[in-house]
Amino acid sequence: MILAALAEPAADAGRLNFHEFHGYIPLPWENHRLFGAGFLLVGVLLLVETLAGGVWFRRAWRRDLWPAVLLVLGWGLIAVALIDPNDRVIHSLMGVMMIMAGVSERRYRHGQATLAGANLFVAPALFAGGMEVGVFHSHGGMTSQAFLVHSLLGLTAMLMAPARLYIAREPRSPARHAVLIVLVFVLAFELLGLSHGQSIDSHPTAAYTS
Amino acid sequence: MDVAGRKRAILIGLLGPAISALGFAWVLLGSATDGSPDPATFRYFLFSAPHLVIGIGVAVSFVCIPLALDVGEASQEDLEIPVFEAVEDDEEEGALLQDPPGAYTWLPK
Repeated sequence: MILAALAEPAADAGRLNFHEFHGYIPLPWENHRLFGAGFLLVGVLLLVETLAGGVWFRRAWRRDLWPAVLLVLGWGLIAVALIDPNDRVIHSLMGVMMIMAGVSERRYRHGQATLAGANLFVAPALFAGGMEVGVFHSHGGMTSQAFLVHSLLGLTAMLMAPARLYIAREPRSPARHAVLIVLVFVLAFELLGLSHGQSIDSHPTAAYTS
Repeated sequence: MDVAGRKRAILIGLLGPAISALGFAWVLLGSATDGSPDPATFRYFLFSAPHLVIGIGVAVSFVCIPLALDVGEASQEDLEIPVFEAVEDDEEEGALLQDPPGAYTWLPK
């Protein structure tokens, strides 16, 4: 009975057109701001983690915060793959990559893996995340506002992969951590401040109607 | 109390209020420059960038103010960034193969 009650809105969602469907989930520019706020939080916590050093890792939940962010992003992409009929395979693959990155980062933080081993999963996942934002979510023409904004967001996110590898060469260096932190802040304020443009109508609305 | 630790503690403690102040400044700037503001609905407050920044500042304060107290009392060694390297299998095996103290050691004649 509970499952039937949960399934009913999902079935209704399939019959709604794109605009009605977004009465249930945030609009694209609202998603940008939500993710911007999320990345601002992650950036601040990474900064605090660097400033506090070993004190940060005295609590188990603080130690597992960064792996948890990767896991949430991964499961979020799996949810997007279930909701959004476009680019389902790409979203699923990237979701799995993010989840593997979260698990490997957690293993590193618990002394069960080396940093180099964790980076085998984390760096590709960050790069793939940038590709997801910059390439697969870019809609509209090459000169449209949505395309330019997504390209900039994707480039910023992709740069986090080499920044992470840069940290791995000298993990105790606060300056190297600062490079990644600055990139996370830049991404956060790009998401919060840049206008997405009215690209919603460039989606193939037929895919959202029955 | 270590001076470097105290400076870091002050910085960590002020991060949350500083972010909220940035959000408030953004709200004021927006209201001063926007001639036709959006209607003040619940959805507007939930998704407007400056209000989200204020919320993040509050959330950061909850995490950072107790942490700042710990950092203020920590030594310089505690403030270094830790590296969580895994114990190599060879080292573990080596540790297991080592004789316990006082064990009989066979020596060939």
